[in-house]
Amino acid sequence: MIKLVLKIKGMHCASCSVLIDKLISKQEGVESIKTSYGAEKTTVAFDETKISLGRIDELINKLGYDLIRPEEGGDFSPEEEEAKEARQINEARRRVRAALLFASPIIIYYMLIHMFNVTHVHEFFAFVNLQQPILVSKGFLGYGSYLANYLFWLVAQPLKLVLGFLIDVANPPFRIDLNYFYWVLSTPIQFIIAWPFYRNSFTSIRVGSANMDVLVALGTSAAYFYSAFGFLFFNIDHPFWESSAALLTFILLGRYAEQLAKGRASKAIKELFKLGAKEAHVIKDDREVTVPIDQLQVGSIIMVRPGEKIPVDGVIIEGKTHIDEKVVTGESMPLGKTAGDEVIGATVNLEGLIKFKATKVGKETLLYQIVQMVEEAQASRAPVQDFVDKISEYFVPVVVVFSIIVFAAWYFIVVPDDLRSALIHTIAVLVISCPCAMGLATPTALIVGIGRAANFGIILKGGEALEKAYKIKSIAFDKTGTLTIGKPVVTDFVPLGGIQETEALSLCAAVEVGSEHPLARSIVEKGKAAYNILPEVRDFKAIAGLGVHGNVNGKDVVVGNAAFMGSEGINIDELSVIVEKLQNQAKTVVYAAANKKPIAVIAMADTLKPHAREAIQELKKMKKEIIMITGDNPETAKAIAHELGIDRVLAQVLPQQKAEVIKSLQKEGKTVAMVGDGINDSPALAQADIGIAVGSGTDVAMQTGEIVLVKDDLRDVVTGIQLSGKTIVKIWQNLFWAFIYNVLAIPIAAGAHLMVTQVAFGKAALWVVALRDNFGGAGRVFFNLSQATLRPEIAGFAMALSSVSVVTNSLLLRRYTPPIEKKG
Amino acid sequence: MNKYIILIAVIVLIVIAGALYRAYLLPEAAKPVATGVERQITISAKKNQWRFEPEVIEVDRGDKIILTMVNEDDYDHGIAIDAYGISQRMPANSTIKVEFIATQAGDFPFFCSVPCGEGIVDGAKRTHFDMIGKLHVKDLISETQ
Repeated sequence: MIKLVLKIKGMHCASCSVLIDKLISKQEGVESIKTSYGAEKTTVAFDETKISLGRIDELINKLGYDLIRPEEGGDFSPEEEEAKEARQINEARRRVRAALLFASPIIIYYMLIHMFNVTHVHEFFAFVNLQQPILVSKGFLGYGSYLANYLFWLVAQPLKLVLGFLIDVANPPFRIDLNYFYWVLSTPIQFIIAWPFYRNSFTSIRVGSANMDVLVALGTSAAYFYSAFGFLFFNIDHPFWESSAALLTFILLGRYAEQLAKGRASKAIKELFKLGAKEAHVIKDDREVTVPIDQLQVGSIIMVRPGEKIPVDGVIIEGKTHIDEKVVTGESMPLGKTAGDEVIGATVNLEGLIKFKATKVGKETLLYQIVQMVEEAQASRAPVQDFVDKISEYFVPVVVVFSIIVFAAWYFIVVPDDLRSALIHTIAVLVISCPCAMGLATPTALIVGIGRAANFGIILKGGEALEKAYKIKSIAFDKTGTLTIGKPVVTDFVPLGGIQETEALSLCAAVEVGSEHPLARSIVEKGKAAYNILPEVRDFKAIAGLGVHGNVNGKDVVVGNAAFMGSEGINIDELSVIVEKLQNQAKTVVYAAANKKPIAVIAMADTLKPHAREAIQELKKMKKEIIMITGDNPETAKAIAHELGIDRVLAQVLPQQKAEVIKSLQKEGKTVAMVGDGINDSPALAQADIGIAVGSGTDVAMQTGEIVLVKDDLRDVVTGIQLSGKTIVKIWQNLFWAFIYNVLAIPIAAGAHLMVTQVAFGKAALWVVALRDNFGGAGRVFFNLSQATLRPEIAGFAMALSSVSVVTNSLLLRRYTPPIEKKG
Repeated sequence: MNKYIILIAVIVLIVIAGALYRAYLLPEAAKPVATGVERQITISAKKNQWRFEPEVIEVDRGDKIILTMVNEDDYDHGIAIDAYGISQRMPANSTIKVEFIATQAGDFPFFCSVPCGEGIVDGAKRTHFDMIGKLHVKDLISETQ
């Protein structure tokens, strides 16, 4: 028994995967098969003594698909996936464009004619010779028909001019029916541009399921063939080319929107690998050799210069430095490290030259483990079930049976033996049950929602995030870089020994100019903000892991930690009260001294991002549970949480554990969102129901997250959730509008209402007659309508109109403005 | 079982049931009647009046009706009678013939089925929607019984 995961090419709809599973699972020796259309993969377990992989391949080939066997090399590279998606979107776009090109003249002409009751011109030269319209009556219909006529007249003028060179337009030598033009325009839409609907229907029928495509094919074919045969052979009054053309165009538009809303495959994994160092300097026989990192072995001695990335995990054997581990651990401050301390691959060596012994290489490294966790979390995410497809499973057979009942009722009972009457009513039913508005309901709302979100700097990588965000119960925030700025800022500057604060600050900032250390940077920034020009420093010296030393304005200035002060022989004992107080606030403290006398105590901390507090308050008002997860120490975490009003804090969480924390929250039955920025957050972002990456974060986080906040403003989390709610409401409204048309119009097309409005066939019911006699014009209109059935062309028009109303309703979503934004 | 097999079975059942009903259960009064009488009727769409002339036509049940539809306008009209599945175009300035057997008794609207605009006729506004008339089919059988 072997189990393989293989790639399958050529599947074009969800039914294809069902078809494959159905056929292959019947074969002897096949234990199980599960094919996924979305992932283009199949997982097959079979007994190779009974059936060979070649035979399975052959069977799948017969169905029209291509199984990529292992020897054919079926690796899925992210580039390939991306290219595939781009191709699909391109194809959908091309189809929409082509359909619009062919269909728009028909749609516009017929829609205007029906909406405003414009005189319908059927002959080409009659159209060319249209008179400039005059306003006949006022009101909606009057102005509408005037404008529509004007449009037609404007289109006719250039035609008239050009044709005038060739023939006498006023007395044309021949006549040509405009329906020929419509026929020529709608045929390629029906059979070439919309071919996928037929293809998918065939597949669907083969597997015995019914998706929306079946109804689309059925309804539009009914409309098309009725129009074509009726026009060519039976002089019917009203071929309705526009309904098949319009319906198909709208559905193609819906499919295109769906493709766009599906979102792009995550490039996270590729980005993650980019992070690591590509090469390492290995010490071999006292010589330094630069090798690619995949050649490193456990035990290799590796040298890392300041500013370089640590290539793999290991233990320092020589040297002293500060290492920025923020990318992996989320710790905001660089850590001082010396011989015996562990280093992590992909972190950055800031100052000193170090040598370390590799302890983990290749797939053992922390970075690689994070990559794997991201991969796993993404693969395990359940795809959202398509609501519309579920409905159609039942809707399709119901419609088909209903249309046959309608045919039988008219042909055998109502007007026995009258085929024309029965056919027209059946066709009207089929046309109006075409579910095109339903196919548009979800994707159009999602696309508009995604577009609206983008206006606020919220990038949604697919409709799924928008569909789920409103359900969120808990939101987990990473601390460093998400809630806080992610780099230290000077929070307190305490001058000592009677020195002016300004002077002390300028001395400290000046001496720190030479240092690359983030703490030093923050002091320089503070100094520069106060004085544009800092005094010059001479004899500058940085001592790794301790501090800096230099001569400013003739004074011997040192800035550094307590150990550095001790080694310089500066007494700092008296300062312990101040320092303790600052350290209790989870601040990092350094000392400054001039000419061996302390001049200042400087406290630094990672500070909150602007609007972070506001965003948290707003989310709490929305009854969301807020959790802070951080790799930082509990004191710092608590201090920040207190400031923000967050009650639940999980500190010292290792990067590997972050995804676990999210998982356990999910096990509590909650829908969890994770907001983060670092590589260390990536597995958690992928694991969460919704990963939200903040824009200041790393590329990996932004690739992993389904939502990216470009502006780095946490209030956008609130906006995103609200917008999601609004979008969901729109989707339900759309489905309602799409459905109500079908539910109301199908019985009217069938003539079922006659059972209420007539006592016997051809005899109006008394109440209808009473209405006609007592309510003047409106009564007469109602009487006339009640005695007629919905004609196929009006059914088609109603369907097209329902699509328009759904699209319009979706577009209304553009008016959404987040409440927070309104406040300014 | 394949859903489509069930579906086809259901469809066949419906059609058979309908055919059986038609053959054995359909009340005598509802059965289509043909008298063999041919009746010629001319209906005109009057020029720029958005009106059929005559607006009421009376026939006997079972008659074969041959409608001569005259369109006096420079634009198209249509003639539709839902109950008998009539749906024909009346091209501008021309005459068409429409044939059917009035197998069922009752009042059936006949109306213009091609949007044909609107205008002022004798001071009143008339439109495409006013082009509606009534086909009255008298039931000879029930009246003689």
